[in-house]
Amino acid sequence: MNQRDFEYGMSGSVARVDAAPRDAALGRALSGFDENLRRLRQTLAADATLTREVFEGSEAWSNLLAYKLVPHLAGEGCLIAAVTGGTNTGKSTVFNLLLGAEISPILATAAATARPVIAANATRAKQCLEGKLVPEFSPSPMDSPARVVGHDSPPDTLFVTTAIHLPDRLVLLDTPDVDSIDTEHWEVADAIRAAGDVLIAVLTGEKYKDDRVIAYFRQALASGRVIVPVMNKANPADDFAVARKQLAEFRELVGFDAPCFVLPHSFAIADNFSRPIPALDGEGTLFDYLLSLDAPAIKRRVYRDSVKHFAAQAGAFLDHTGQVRNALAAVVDEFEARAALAASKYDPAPGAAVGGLFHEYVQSKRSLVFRWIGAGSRGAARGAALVGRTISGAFRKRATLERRETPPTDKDLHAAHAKAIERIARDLAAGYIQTARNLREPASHLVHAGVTAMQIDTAAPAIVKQTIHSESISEEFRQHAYRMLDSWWHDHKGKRRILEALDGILALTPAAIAVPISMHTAGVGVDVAIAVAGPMVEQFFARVIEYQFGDAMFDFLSPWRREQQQALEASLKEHLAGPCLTPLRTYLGVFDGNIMSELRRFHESCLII
Amino acid sequence: MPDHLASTLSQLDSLAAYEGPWRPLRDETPLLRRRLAELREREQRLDDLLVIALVGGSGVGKSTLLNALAGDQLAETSEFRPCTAIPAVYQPPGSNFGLDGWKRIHGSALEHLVIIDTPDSDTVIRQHRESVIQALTQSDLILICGSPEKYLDEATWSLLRPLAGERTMVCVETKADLETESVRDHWTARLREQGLTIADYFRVSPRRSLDRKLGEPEAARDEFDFARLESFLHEELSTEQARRIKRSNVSGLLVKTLATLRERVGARAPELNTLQRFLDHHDKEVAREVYALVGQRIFAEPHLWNFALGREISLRAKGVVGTLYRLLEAVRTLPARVATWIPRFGRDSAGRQAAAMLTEQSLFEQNIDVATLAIRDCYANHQSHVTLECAKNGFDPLNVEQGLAEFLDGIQQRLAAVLRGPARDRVVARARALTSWPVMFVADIPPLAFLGYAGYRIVSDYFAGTILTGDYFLHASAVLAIILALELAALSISARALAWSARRAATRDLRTALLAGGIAFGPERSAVAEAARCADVCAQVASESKH
Repeated sequence: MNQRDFEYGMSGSVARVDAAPRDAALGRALSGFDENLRRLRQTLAADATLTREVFEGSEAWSNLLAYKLVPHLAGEGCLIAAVTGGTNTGKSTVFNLLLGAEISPILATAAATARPVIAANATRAKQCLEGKLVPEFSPSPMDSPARVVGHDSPPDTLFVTTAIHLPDRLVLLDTPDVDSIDTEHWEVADAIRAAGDVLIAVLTGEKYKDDRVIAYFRQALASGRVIVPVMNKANPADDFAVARKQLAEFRELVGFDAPCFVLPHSFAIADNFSRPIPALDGEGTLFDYLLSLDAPAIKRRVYRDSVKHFAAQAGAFLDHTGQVRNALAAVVDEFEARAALAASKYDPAPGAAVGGLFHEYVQSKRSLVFRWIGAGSRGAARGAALVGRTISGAFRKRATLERRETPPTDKDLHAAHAKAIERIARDLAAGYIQTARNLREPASHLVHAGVTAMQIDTAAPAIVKQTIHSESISEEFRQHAYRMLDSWWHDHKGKRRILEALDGILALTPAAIAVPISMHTAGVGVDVAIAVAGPMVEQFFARVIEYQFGDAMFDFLSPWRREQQQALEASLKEHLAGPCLTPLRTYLGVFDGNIMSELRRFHESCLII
Repeated sequence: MPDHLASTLSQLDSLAAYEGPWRPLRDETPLLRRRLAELREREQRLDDLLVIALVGGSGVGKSTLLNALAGDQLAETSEFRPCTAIPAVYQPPGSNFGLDGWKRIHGSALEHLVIIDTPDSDTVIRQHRESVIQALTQSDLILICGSPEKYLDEATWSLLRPLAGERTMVCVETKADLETESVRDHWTARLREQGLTIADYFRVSPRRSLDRKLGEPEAARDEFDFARLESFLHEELSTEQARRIKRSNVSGLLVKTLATLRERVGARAPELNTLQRFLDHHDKEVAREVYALVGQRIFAEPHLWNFALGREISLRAKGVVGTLYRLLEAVRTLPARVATWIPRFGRDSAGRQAAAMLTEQSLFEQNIDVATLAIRDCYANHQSHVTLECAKNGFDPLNVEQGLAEFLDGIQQRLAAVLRGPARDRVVARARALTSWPVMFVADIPPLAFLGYAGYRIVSDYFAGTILTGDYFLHASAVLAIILALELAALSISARALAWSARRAATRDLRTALLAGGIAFGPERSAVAEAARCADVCAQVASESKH
């Protein structure tokens, strides 16, 4: 034994020297990956569905990383032989036989061992209790066997027992089952077994071909483990002919070749744990075989294959996570597109005649004299229009039997806009609820939570407040249009001069013609009539021209409309899409955040090395 | 089939046929349809042989148990897994039970039973699981086989859990020996924990029993409960008992179905009732707002009513004053009539059309287009409330356009009905009263009296030898004109007063008609009513079945 210890120490140090620089880089990448993976898991932990969606099928390799690759780097490697198998196949029996005493309690009922037990010599046991050997578990000295079969201790408890006769380089693990209805055991077992280098597969005639058992060992083989099958409760008749064939089938199914061991069926087994477990062919016992294994070589191989296996699986995991991320992002896009579509249905009416507004503006730009002229001629035209309207109105009223609708006041206009916006918000919210119902997981439940939390009754007024800035929409539009006109006024000097002078030219030209004529003829006649009619005609033309410009002013109107729609869209996104997507965005942020980029970086450096 | 079951099933059929927009129910219908089909099939098979399925993990000895029961090496058994690849049906001669591809074995050891030996539920060959599920679906009684090593395996339990309550289950512990007595308590306790009820528990060692039956030499070993199991199968499972088991399976499935329905559909009935009230409320609100809008327009126009009443009066007016009134009316309505000749001048006005309806003119045959922007706006506002609430309650989008069209149509119908019906009646009644014979007579008395008096003066003065001057005729004509003008004015004023009262009364009619309810949100209301009815049926059927 001492001899072997010595050899192990030698070859181990040689191996370390060989691979030191590469190992160090790989180590950094692995522990970085592990750390970030743990952070990702912690961040997503609040949401069970998403965690399942993302981490489904990742247990095997993430356990490998956490329990095998990272601890290996800590330099505490020794050959860990884990006793594994289906429920009630006799794992604890084999474990006890290897140790020569009843360490792990044996019950006739299934799924008895609930927490793993580790057996090691005094030095290793001390390391183990210090948390150095299997750092992911919280070690606890095994004071009473009853605690192993009970569920009171936390799931990550690892019971440590000292077995003096074990060499320094071998520790033994007894593990819970992988196939009983206590699925909690599966997780513990999967996790702890990832730490093993050698897996002692305890089989029975009933269980050697079970789906879960085979699947488990295939996976273990893929990550480079050594599998040592032990057929328990075998029939010794015909030199274990049945067991031989069963073992052959098992090895073929899993895909490996290794010496096998058998444990004949015996009720007296519990009386004497010092019996050896014999090899199926040839001499030797299981314990001797375990001792004879070339520990450093196996560790190296396991390590290498584990890294390979891990790199491939982690790559697939990252791709899968990317898909989940895209699915979530697609939902965000759809919700925002809906908000934009809803906002585009908002058609704000300014409540002020556009042409009139332009006239007003031009008027305000005219010089004092021209303004008077403009105001005077407009007043005259208005008076005439009032008379005409009264006459035609009386006629029309009788003809149409109906009043025209009165133009809305500022208050009405504001209320109408508020109602239209609230309506858009409610319709959008209804759309969100219906969309959320048709979504698929993992987005579905996240959005559902958000939609349920959506408070449309408080959101709608907030949206209105954010979209409509002032009490008077006409005033707001006026100011906006004035700003637009200002820049137009500034850019188009020629047109602006004509407009400025329009009243003056048209009003004064007839007068300019009339005055010389009347002076020349020294009488009052047609010329004076022209001078009086001048402003009227002028007003008519001026209005026509201004309204024509006013029609072109719809170009000035559309930026306002677009701005209003954009304000509404932003507000809808903030108050409706926002709350709906908050839970989803939180996780999307995780996927887009630096945890994922770190994971990708470490994975890439793993691949390079 | 008992009557109450038949009626329950037919009620469930009506639910299963639901294809409306209410998601909570529509999501349930596929499962409901499957379960109904199964219920019917099971109910029909009450008198068939009892079907027993042997189920358990690989290698627990299902085939060995079958062989031991039959007392013959019927099914192949082996040390190697998996052994049974396709379900084998052991049945009495003459019966032909089993699906395509199943192995049929005829024997008479258990003459009133069919036993299915299922493949393993847990080996690497996944297709086996499928055939186990098929076999379990076909069975009435499940013998759960477990060995001390394999009784807690998830692979078998996951098959049993969905059938909880739907099948009678019995545990058979194979490979019993003296050491494994603790298994019974552990196993049954765990089954109870997971909601599976076990009718009986047998510990057997089929290998030994088979050896005895086949006359093996060392036969006198302990066979545990095997004799009891045999008698259970032979005697206790008599035809009557089998019927009872099947019936209890059926009722188990039914109870499960109803519980699901009650939980997922029936429990939402109160929500739907609230929603219905919400819809009714908004229906009323829309009607009220529309009434305000319509009332502001057509019904607030005195001209329309003057026009209508004037027309009715001029149709009926008689006597001197009446004739003059007709002439006056013709002149007064000239602009309105001229307007109808000129296209695009008041022709499309809703008021004109209303007037036409009110006066029964055939000039405007099309309906009134009351759908002003204001009405559409008001409807859309309430619609958004309703849509949101429906969405919250699990309804898919409903046809909003259709709802609006129905609504506008409804308003027009009701408005037209009021205008053609009570409103017109009121106008006509007032016109009749004003142009009744006594009124017209009284109206004619002053001018006729004056004419008579003037004529008398002319005649008497003539005989008295006085020739009246032209002034007299001028003055008499003036007085007559004043009398007639006053009369016409009085008639006009009373016509206006009557038009006003007709308008007031008709406005009340309109209010009643519009606020009668059931005018807006047709698709929503019918969908919710349908869903509420279904939810009520769910709740009711479930509570009935409790009794």
